[in-house]
Amino acid sequence: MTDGNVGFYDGGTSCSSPGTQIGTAQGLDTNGKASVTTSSLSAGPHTIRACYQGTANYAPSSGSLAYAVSYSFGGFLSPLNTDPSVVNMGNAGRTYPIKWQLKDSSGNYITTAVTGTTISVAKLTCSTLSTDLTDPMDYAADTGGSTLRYDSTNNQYVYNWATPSTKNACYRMTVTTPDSQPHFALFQLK
Amino acid sequence: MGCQSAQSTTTDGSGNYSFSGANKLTFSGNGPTTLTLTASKTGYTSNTVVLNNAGTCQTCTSTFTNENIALDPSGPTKLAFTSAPTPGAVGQCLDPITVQTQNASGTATNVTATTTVDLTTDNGSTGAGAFYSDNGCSSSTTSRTITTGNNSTSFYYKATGRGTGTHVLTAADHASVLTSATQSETINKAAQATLAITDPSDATFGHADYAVVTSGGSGSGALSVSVTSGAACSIVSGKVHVLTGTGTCGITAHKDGDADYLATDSAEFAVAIHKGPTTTSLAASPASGSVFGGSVTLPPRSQARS
Repeated sequence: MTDGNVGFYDGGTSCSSPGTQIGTAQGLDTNGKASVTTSSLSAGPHTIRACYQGTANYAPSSGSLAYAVSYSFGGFLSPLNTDPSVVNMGNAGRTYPIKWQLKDSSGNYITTAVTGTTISVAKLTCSTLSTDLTDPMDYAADTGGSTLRYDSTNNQYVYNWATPSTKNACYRMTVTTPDSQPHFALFQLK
Repeated sequence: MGCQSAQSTTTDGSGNYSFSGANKLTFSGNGPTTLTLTASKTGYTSNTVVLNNAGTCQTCTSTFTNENIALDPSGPTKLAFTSAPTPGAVGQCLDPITVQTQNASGTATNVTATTTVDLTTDNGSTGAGAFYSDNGCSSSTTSRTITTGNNSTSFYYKATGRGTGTHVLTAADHASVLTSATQSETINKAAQATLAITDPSDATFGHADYAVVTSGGSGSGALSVSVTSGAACSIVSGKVHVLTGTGTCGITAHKDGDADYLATDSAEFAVAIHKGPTTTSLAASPASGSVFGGSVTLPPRSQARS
């Protein structure tokens, strides 16, 4: 089958109720293929739908694909270890700055991701954590409040985490950025 | 009686009596003016002749010569078909056929003893046929019986193979006393059982060719199928080819005739040709997701699904 056109859509629930069209409808080539290239997808999860419109002799059909567009996340910055599998060792009751950067595909900093970012902390049983990889967090003076902010000087997001006072406790922090990507950091507080 | 009686007679070798010379019958006196002569012979039916004297007895103006008294045998001498041939077709139970016992004059004559009539057919040389005692041609028979005091019997004939188209039937006295009779029956080709197409009623564009399913028809004639309406299909090697378009396509089956059957056509059969199903698969490159602002290529592939 080499005739007919394919339309590409972002979102929507079906070809009869499609989302935003991506590019223009493309005709099938001699291999029954059509393609479109885009760089305009927003960060986050997408449902991409290809709708074959059919011809006089062939019925329409469609296919869809869940696709994620994410920010480039280089790992948490000092004083945390960038490796999410490493347990960051610290002291209970201290405040540690949690820092990270987000970039686009060209290396440009994303500066607007405070909104849409969520941070959660869950307590873990320390015995469940591997202590093979640990890294003591250097003390760094925290500046600013405990509200997530963007530090445009250093092009980084900063969240000052005032740790609980309970000693010998372990935690997993989840920072979910607006692209719906979760980023994890493990802590053991003495 | 007032006339003179014959004084003497002669008899020939065949038993014919004759009067000659002075041995004549004459009328005399004023007696009756008619003379009835009766002839009788064993195995024959008696017969009479009446002679009328036109004059007076004295003049005896009337003379008679060669006044034969014909005597017919008293029983039947032959068999005869009395029902007219009625053309029929292969497989058809023909109208009843009647055979009669007759005397030499062709008059229906009752048999004086049970007579078995043997029935045979030449099968139209290369065809086939059989006799039956019932009008449904379900009870076959090869002979019929005429009981004493009756003069006919009826039976039925059905050809199952036409052959030359003429089936010669023979009725023969099993005792070989009566002369046999024959009659030719014309056997025509039969109409075939109703030919019909039963499938495919639905087809899908792009599908492999569909076999045509038929029912009915008779005989050994070749079967063929043709498109008789619409342009959405064609016939390739006897199958419905559906790569022409969608819509409705009318096809008709034809079955040739053979030695026994006439050719026939089916009614037109509608084939609905639907759009071919397709599948569309979608992939993305890079497949695992992309970084915001980067290019994503979406290469779907649409295929006809069989």
